[in-house]
Amino acid sequence: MDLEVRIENLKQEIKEKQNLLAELEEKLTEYKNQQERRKQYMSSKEIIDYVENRSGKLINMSTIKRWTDEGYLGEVIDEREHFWALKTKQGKKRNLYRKSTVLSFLYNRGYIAPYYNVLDEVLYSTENASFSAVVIDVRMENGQFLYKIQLQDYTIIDNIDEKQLKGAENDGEY
Amino acid sequence: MVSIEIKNTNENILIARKIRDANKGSVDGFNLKFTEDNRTIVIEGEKLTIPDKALLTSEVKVNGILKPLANGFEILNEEKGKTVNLHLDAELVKEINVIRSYVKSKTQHDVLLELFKKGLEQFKKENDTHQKRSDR
Repeated sequence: MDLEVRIENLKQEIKEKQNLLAELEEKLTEYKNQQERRKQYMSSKEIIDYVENRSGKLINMSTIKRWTDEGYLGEVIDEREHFWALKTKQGKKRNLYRKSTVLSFLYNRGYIAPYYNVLDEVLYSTENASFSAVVIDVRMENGQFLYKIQLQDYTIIDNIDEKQLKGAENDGEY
Repeated sequence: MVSIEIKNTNENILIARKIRDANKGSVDGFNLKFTEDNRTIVIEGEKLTIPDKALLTSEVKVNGILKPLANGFEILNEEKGKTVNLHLDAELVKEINVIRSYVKSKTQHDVLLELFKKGLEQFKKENDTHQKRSDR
């Protein structure tokens, strides 16, 4: 009889652990989901740091507040409400802005600029090789600068992320 | 609005880049783009500068009035008509200069009258030889 009790207890335990596992897995999925979605948003602090890093221009909280009031930064959401699964600083309510809206606005107002301009010589790197290329077009789309480039043999490649490009030496200014 | 159009080739890209850089500090600003078919580089602005005369090759098309500067050109808005970027060889330039020096001291009326007379004379001459030939 002792064995039967032990089996019964173990079954119960397994069931509990399975439930716990499912719960944790669900939490993890949600965490990853939110983490991915969070990338589409920026906090005020992140906007200020981004602009300073990118162009050296300084803006401050009151500028952000003014832009928010004017509606330039689009819809504002509360970080804790939308991203509760992510660890954030406790207690503080934080506004988040949609990155694509914010960056388009910053670009149009001249607060940020692409690293490379039309006609600049760049080095385009793929996993296996690097190519010398010329920038044909730059645009801001969904919060990133996308480039169209032309290789030496006149091949044209579009939708290239800025990260895949490097400035060529004789064009050091950019 | 004036513009410079340059055929998209690796060599011309170097030219276009020099023109771009020369206009970078311009207060009027300018717009630089490739056409949708990627065949042509277009630089547009209220006023543009070509920093060196040598950059104005036969593959560079200018829409506007070319005003020579010490080294290059300034492209200004055309009032009316169109300035065409002509590439003349040395002989043709010489010929034009001869015509220019010939015409310089005359009024437009004189020149037209002379052209008219010469034209008539030429016409008569040709008609005469034609006549003679058919007489034979």
